[in-house]
Amino acid sequence: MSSSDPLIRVDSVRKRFGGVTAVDDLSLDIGHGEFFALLGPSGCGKTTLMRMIAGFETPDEGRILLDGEDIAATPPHRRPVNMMFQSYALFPHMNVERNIAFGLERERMPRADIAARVDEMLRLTQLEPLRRRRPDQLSGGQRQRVALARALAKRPRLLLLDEPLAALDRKLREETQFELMEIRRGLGMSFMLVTHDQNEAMAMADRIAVMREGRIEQMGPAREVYRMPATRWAAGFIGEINLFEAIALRDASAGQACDMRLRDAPEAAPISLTCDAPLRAGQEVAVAVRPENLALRRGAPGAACLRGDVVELAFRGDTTLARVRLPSGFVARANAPGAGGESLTRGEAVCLSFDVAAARVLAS
Amino acid sequence: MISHRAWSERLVLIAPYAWLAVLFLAPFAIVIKISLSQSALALPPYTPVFDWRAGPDAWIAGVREFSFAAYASLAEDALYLDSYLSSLRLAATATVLTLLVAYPMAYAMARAPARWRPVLVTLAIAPFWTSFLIRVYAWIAILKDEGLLNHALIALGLIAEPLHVFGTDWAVQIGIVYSYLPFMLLPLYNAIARQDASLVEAAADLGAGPVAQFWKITFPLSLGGVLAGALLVFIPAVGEFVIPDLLGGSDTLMIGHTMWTEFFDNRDWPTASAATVVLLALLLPPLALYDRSRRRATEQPT
Repeated sequence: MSSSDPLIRVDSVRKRFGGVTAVDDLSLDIGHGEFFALLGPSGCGKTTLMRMIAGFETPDEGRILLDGEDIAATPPHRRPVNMMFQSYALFPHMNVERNIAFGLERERMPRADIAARVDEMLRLTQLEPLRRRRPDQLSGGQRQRVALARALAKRPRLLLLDEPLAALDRKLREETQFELMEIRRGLGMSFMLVTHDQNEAMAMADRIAVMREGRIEQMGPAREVYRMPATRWAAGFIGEINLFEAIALRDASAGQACDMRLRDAPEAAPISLTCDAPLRAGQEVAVAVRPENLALRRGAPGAACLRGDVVELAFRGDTTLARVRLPSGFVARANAPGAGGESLTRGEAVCLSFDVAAARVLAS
Repeated sequence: MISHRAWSERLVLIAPYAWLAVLFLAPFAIVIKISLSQSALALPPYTPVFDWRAGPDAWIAGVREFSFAAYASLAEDALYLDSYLSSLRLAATATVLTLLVAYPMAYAMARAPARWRPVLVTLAIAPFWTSFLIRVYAWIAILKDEGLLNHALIALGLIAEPLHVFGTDWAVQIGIVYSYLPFMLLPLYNAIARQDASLVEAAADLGAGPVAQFWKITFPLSLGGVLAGALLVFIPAVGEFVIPDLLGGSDTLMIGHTMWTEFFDNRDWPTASAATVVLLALLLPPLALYDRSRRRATEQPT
């Protein structure tokens, strides 16, 4: 082990179930003290990957290293990794205290130390008044806390969270998100979150890996993944986004500015965008713009804009979501600030424009 | 006003009680009545005999003849006390043996791949498709001195002389374990199979090795099934008659057999009836225990 090793290194791991490849040649690192999120739709292999790190599944190929050492042969009960189960998996025949103490008792920790650690966990999760209750006497939110306290009690090197908030209602989910972040800051351990909820991943994680069909589609800091989606699929999966069809007007290498024309604005002047991948003249690409970055004005003829008709308006309090049909039939979504949206009516001709800095070229 | 629906609902509620009243309470009342009568050389072999046409005076005179003489004779004759104790001991031992055989089987069934489980459950109850009597007779052929078991063991060179199993309490216990195994197996299987598989994973995740996973999680959570299975085996085993009669020896003492002798050989119906009533009284505590555990299990939200 050297100090430069990541906490967890997943190295070219592959896992098949029958004829289905759940995880396909996947590599990633999780750093010390990092909050890492695996984000993807159900069936993308994120749970399988997490279960391999916990030790419940064995990779068919590849290695999983903890502090630089292969843990393939280490059974789950000897890994310094704890998991918070989606179902919580609380032991129904034990009260809150005994549930939390379970892992510590297995370590043969002295009794006084166990009691002190259990008290600390109960305080941290605000469960002190419920310490003698059984799981069936607790609400969903309380059970979630017990599951968290039980998994944290052993001070694992890495805590795995399997859809930790899925069973909570929306308000409680938001509160719990902040609590989780606070608890992690206090304890300084690494967290790995598995979720299909992009908001959850964005809100809590330092870094996100977007998974699709057993592979990583995109990996990076949360903001970057949102602001700069790497593929059409990733752009569509994370938040709402408009994908405008466009054609490259000349060859460009990666990192260069490239002129392109939007299909829905044939008469407008070409726009110039920086692209990540080399482009050929005539290549079809997509220009991705988030709804909040799309400005919407009343039809101003002549201006460099995408013209269309408002087909639907949904007032959302702080903003108004407008659906605008463009000549090609593509329906764009734009978030007009509350005041701007109020005066619009359905059927009205409008003009959509965006700052090129907020747009992204997607070749694939 | 009571709607039609309410009437039909009442009927559904009444049906099981009516069944119990006609097929259990009424016959049992007759048994109690006979246990309070005196043995007589007559047909039926006891007095008083009530004639429903005789009128209330004759009935009252009949009731005056009731006595606890049959119960007193149970207490006087050591045979009955010995029979009860021996039955309880045999049934308790057989129940423990059944549990030891059934638990690993139930565990393996519950942990088998999901598509195999229905097949395994069917196999577990398949013996019920042949007559109970024939299956117990088959054990005679297996256990007797020149039977299959001894032939096999001698052929394997494990023993030189035949084992004397047939006609002993061991044969009776083997018979009970074999015959009652499904009654133990199914509640155990249910209790283990319905456990959330993630509980064992959570235990492993928290540092419990395979042994701790079993004794701290799987086994305690299956105790309801253990209790149900144990009582389903123990209660009928105490009163078992056929198995000790066919597989047991002359020194095998069980209350079922003692009652039979009293009834058919001695034609002492009152004593046999009294023995029956006492047996039921002995089995009430375990029955109540079973009822309580079931009630607690159904109250628990899952």
